[in-house]
Amino acid sequence: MLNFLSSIKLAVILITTLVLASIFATLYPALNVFGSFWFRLLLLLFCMNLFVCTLRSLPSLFTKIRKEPGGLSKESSSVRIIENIDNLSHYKKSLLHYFKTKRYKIKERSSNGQLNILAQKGFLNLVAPHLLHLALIIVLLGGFISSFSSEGKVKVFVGERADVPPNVASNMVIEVNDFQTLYDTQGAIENWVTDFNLYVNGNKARTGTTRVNNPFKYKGVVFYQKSYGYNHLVEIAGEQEGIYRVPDGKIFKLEDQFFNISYTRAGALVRFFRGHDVVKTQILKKGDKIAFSSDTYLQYLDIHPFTVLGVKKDPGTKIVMSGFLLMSMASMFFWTGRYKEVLISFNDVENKFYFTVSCKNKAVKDGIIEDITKKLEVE
Amino acid sequence: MENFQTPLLFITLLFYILAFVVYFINFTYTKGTLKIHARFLIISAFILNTILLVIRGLLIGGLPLRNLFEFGLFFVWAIILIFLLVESKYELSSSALFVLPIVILLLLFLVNLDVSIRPAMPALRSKWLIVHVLTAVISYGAFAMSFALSIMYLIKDWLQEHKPENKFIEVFPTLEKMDDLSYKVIFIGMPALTIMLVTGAVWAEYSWGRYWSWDPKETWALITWFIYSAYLHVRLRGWKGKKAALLSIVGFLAVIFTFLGVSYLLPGIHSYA
Ligand code: HEM
Repeated sequence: MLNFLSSIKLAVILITTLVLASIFATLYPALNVFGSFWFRLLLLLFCMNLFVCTLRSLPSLFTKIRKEPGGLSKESSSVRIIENIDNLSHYKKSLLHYFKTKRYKIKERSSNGQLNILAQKGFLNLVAPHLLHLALIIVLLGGFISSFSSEGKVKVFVGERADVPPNVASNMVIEVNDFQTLYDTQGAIENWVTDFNLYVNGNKARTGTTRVNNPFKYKGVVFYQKSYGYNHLVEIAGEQEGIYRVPDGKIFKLEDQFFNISYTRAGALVRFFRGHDVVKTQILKKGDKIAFSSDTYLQYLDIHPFTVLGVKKDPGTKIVMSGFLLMSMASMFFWTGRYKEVLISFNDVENKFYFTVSCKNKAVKDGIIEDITKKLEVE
Repeated sequence: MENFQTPLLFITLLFYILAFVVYFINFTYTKGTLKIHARFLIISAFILNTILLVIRGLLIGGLPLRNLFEFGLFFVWAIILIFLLVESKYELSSSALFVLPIVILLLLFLVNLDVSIRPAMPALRSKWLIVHVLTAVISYGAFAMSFALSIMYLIKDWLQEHKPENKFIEVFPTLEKMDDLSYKVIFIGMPALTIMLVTGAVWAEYSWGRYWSWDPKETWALITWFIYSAYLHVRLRGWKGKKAALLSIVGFLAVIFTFLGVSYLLPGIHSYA
């Protein structure tokens, strides 16, 4: 049972199932496969598979890392023997030099007139799959915690205050000082920035800014720049006298004329419509007036921007992000060289030495064996 | 400079096509005497491709990785880069017969796209995006190479059994070599694909406040990742040769679907890229 739970076979079965389920889910998005119970169960199994496999492989991993020189048996078929060497001590030195320049980790032990050497290299590659599996577990765990996160939105006008949705944070109020659209040197929109104060239980806790790709964080609550918009403050004289806050782009009727006002960099743009056609446009600055009839006019008072911030509280995010970091590290470890291990025993009395090379890549292994034997010929 | 793009794109395409034709003649009629010419053509095409990317980069003032056209151009570039690297280390020039058609088809698709320069929206102005797309390009290039090797493997395997006289049996590398290299190349691509997924998720967290939304593009990238991770695991259990080659082909089909199919066939928030 434990064997199956930690097996590559189960891993492949699970991966295949996940692939099929995901394909199905993208074809029928309405079925909400990813939120379903059985999909989560699948992920849980996946986690268990990874966990048991990682746990079971740790002991042999540590044994390899902490391995000591020695233990070469002359009978084993993988052990190579070289006899009748002219200058053994010189050869010893040149081999050690070879391992040092190739950046092997070298351990030496002598016992009973034998010098044993262990040269190892490529530990990162050795731990990479286990680290990757561990990282996946961490990501899935974080994802599970994330499913209990709470999020919402706040819309706040510049100069005003609004409550952060209470399901995210209680007694938290945002006061927006400023909202700006930033432009790059070519005149294209570079970003949107909100400047705000944060009040907790009525006391000012922090001043902050959010911009796209650059959220603001306070005690686990994260604020994202989600959206924005404008209202226009206008004063109307005539029958419908009063001061109005007009949403950007919304069409109104005054004295039988249809018009809307929208924000542009040059100022507020008024468009008059007949049916769907724009018949007249005009840019209004603060204080400008448009006459609709002899006693009806509209005066533009001010622009009134608002910002919409996404608000989220999710303790899972941090866990997922650390899992991601670990995953990326493990991935890069895969690119470092294969794990290689060379065990050598010099026997001064018999004037011989034994060695064995282990590496999963046959070409690399043969290369090392060739290097070692070649050193002998050159000396 | 903007007007240079389309003509340069066509010239690049032409050079890739010429390279393919010369490689083809080289292997079918002239027994390898034209190899140096074919190599000259493919390297020229690669240089033109690079120049096109540089021009595009200068025009937009950054790495050209922001829309389907730019990504496609980089994708083609990465495929050839990986081909040239692998080819210079192992004698594999016959794989050009399979790598070049992928490149040519992709370019034929790209010439239909809009090449005009539009400013990037704020969400796309992120350093995470650069790592995300760069690793995507590397992994997709590697998978394309593995795909070509896998197709060759299946063809040679079939020929040996059914048409033992066919001259392509001599032209192609040994089955073991193709199998082994296909695996090696996936080992380069897979970590890059992992980093692509991770950086994509980190970027989404910073810009949308959600590291994973299960949108179709993300899901298909994950499916691709699953397929190649299945590939690595079954190889550990001793799958080789034909079965492994088939899986690598399935993996690359998933890559292509993620790259093109999702944008055109499935709805989602990634549809600008
Ligand atoms: C990029 C993704 C992955 C890579 C590169 C990878 C790599 C590896 C490698 C190299 C091994 C062999 C380890 C050894 O022999 O000691 C392995 C084993 C295994 N992997 Fe993965 N893995 C990945 C993802 C996964 C996933 C997603 C699962 C979950 C289903 C998984 C489950 C397993 C299992 C159960 C084993 C067997 C462990 C053992 O028998 O010692 N792996 N993986």
